[in-house]
Amino acid sequence: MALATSSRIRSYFRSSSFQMALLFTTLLGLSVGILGYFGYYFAQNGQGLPNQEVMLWLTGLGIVFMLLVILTSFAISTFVVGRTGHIAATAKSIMDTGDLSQRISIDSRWDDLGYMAEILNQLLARIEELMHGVKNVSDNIAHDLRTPLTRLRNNLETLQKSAGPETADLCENMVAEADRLLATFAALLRIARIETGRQRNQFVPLQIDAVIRDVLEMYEPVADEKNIRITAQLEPASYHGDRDLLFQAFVNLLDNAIKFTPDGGTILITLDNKTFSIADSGPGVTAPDREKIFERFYRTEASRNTPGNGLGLALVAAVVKLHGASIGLSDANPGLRISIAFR
Amino acid sequence: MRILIIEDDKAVADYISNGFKEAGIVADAAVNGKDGLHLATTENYDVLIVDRMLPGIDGITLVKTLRGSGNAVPVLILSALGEIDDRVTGLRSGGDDYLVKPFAFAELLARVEVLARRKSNTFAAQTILKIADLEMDMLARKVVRNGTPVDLQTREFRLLEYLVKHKGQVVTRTMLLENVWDYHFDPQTNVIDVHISRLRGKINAGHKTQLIRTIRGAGYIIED
Repeated sequence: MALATSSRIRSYFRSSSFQMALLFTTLLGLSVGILGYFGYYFAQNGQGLPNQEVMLWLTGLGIVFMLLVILTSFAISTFVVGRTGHIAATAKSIMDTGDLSQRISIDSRWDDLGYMAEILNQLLARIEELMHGVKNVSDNIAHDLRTPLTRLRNNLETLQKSAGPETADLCENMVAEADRLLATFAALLRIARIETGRQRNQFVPLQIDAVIRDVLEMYEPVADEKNIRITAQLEPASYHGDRDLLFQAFVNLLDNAIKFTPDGGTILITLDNKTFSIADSGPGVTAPDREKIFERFYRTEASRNTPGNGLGLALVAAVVKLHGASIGLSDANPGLRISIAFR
Repeated sequence: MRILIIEDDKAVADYISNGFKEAGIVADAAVNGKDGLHLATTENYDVLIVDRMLPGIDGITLVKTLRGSGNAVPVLILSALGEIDDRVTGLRSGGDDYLVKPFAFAELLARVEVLARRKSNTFAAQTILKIADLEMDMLARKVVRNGTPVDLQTREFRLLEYLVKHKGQVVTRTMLLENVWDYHFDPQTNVIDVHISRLRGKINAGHKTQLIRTIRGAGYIIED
């Protein structure tokens, strides 16, 4: 208890507000003292009230002291604001880049802001440690589960060869199921890597419209099978990004759109001023679902019966974030419109 | 065909060896990089299957050492690392193909057969490719079947070209994705099957023999 109080007192002495108060009081005290001294001096000499000239001097002196006080407080507040601004800038940069290895630079250890920076840095170190832990655990889980699952899958395949026709069919279904599980693990790991790893070393100059055109060329036959008409209006857009990941993101979006558009429906894709948008003519997504569809494994009521692992849009969101772009959902009347604004 | 498997995980090594045995292919095995390198330099193999992470000498160093000494034997690198930059380092070190664990044996077998026959493949210089009664003119980018021209789009042409260049060999869906489309991605749907069925529709229309056969659980094959 006594310790806590003493540390509280100590921390109060170190705080900038205390130091500011101290400075104010010192300066005020100093000015009052000087004025008092003059008053005393004149009284001692029996001159009564000082003459006009002396009064003028005193007023001037008072004004100078006041200016000094204002200037000092201004300097102190600039100093404090500058330091808090620096802390905020570091925090923002960590949020934007996801780079937890950044630290707030500590330029003094004697005041409360330096102390706060030190504590925040310790907090960052702790978060970084925990994040590493989470990443390692999820990597290990994926790896440790994948290995036995692969063995199981391979044994089933071996069994299938020596089994009778009925058992062989069953084995094939089980192998397919194991493959789906393995694919889900792979997708999870991939999202985790895009999110945590600063995987920007694959960034190259590219044309977004060219990537979209390649996706369209690949998926048009799939749309044709459902008699879905895709209209695309693409303006050229140069960009710096990961070609394979962007391709994957557009594939996931188009695949979703094809899945939810009924037979004979339409899909509209536009790229205008570096903003991509895809609108399907499916059932759309209700407002409460909209916030959640980018979460891992989230599936809307309408999508429960369609194939997929619920990770497609989570991957899109991760790719969009990696590129510093933003994603938005709106109503396409009917259907859903997803827009990505690349900057 | 003689194959050397350099893999320290016994379960994976056994799975591969058994698979090859069933396919009637002789496969030797080494459990670490040092033994593997020794075998690879002293014996004659058609294809090496090298695990990327090995005790002693790792897979990448092993391949670099082999290439440095002028050994050009085709190498397939196996790895649990599946990101694109992992793949790029694997192929840059001198690997000819890269397969991510876990994989189906059919996928490995198809790739090994393609690698083993690469040496004898003389397609590179040919301007006319032939399969059964179908002819591909590589310069004019035209396809004729039994005298009738077949109108193919660019991608369909490339798809057929890849199949014909590997005639008599099973080609998997992943191999087609990697070689016919230049993107590394997960296609979500059976998009390759849709493209194959389109291609089939175009080249088989009005003909008795059906080209491009589906191999269950593996991929596709085109044969004379």
